[in-house]
Amino acid sequence: MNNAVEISLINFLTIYLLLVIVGIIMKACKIKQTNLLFIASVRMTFQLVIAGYVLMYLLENPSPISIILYVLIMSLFAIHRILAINKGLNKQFKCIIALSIMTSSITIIMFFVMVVINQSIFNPQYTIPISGMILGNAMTGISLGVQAFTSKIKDSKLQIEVLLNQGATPKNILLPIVNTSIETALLPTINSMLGMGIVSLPGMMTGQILSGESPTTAILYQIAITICIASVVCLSVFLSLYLGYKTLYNKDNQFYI
Amino acid sequence: MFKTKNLEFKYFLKYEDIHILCEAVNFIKGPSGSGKSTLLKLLNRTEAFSAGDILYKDKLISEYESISLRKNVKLISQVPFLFSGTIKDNFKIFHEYCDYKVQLNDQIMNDYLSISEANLELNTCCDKLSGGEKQRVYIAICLSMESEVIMLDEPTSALDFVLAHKVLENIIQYIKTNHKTVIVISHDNTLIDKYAEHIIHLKGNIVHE
Repeated sequence: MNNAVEISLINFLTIYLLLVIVGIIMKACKIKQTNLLFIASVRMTFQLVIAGYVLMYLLENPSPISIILYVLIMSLFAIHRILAINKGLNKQFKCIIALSIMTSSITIIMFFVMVVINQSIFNPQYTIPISGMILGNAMTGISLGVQAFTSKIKDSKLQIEVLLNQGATPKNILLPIVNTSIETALLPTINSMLGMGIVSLPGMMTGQILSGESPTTAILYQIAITICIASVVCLSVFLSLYLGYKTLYNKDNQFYI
Repeated sequence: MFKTKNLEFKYFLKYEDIHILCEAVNFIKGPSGSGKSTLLKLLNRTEAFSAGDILYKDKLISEYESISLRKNVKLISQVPFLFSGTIKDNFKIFHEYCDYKVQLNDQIMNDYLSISEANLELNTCCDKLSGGEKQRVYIAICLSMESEVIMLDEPTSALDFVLAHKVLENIIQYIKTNHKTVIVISHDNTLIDKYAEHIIHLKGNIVHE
């Protein structure tokens, strides 16, 4: 089987024509975020070019420190994105979210690389792309879960007040909200599993097939990574919210919200 | 039942010392902003006071565990809340949330509904109730989880004159036969004149720096 054909630069640039079409449609429909499309495209290009060079360097000069550093920077960026989207959380809640995403992602990454693929965790060819997929999905999952949680708390202020006055414990009041928020975070991942292979060929599998890997190997990787993604979303959201909801009230069971 | 001493809330609301009588009908009145609702929240410890002390049965309220205090000193707040579902479902959901273990049956639910003059079918869907009906169902559910003290914040605000008097009369009869204490916030002087055994007049001493 052949490796993917190198794309020539001129041919590659034609892909940006599609972006121009998107831009024209957005403008015509008076969508306010048209500028964002421009910024996002530039940022995406720039970030990926840098990532390409950094990865090339890392793959050629693998060292434990540089891999740890790379994964650390990725997790810090993921944490930063989540906290930027979810403003108004208290400090303790923020720390819990940061710790949850770190511990659950690192555990899953290590499990995948060391147990499932049986490679050294310091082999950049596996650890770095897997870390990217795991952290990226954990970030989206936690964001969804935390957003669902905070908006439900806002909508349930009267319910919370009434139940508290009747002598319900904050735990009884908040746990149902925590549980439905975990469900909200997990559903997109589970739904995408339903259509996988029929409606869509997922990105990782597509990439492997394009680069000449046999499809039977590609599906094994895809199944493993999909399960890892579902687990990391579940674990990180579960930890964030189950530990986080306790920061919303004090020892006298008085709410801060 | 309750005594307060130099009570202050968030350092701007200062209360004169208040005395709430045991097994009596206590009314709280005063202009808006004088801290009536806040006082009730301080008494059940859903809000913290910034200075002073509150004694409940001659013991500092900080010595009581807050959840068990709230089960005994029940605040029925002004705006009602009901879950979607039937009246019967709501009784069950509230009891479950509050870990209230006493067995419920249709007779008991109907008894409490008749106290608050909410004589509706138990399988009526709560989404279809009017504002006044919601308030009365909500009061019935709160009363059904029995407590020593019942605090009512404007319990009849959504009711007309006749119904307001009827509901309050029933509640007072209920607390008298069961030896409970009631604290009511009301603006309605006809209610106060008719039923009050003890009146607390809050003047609203806002502390200026």
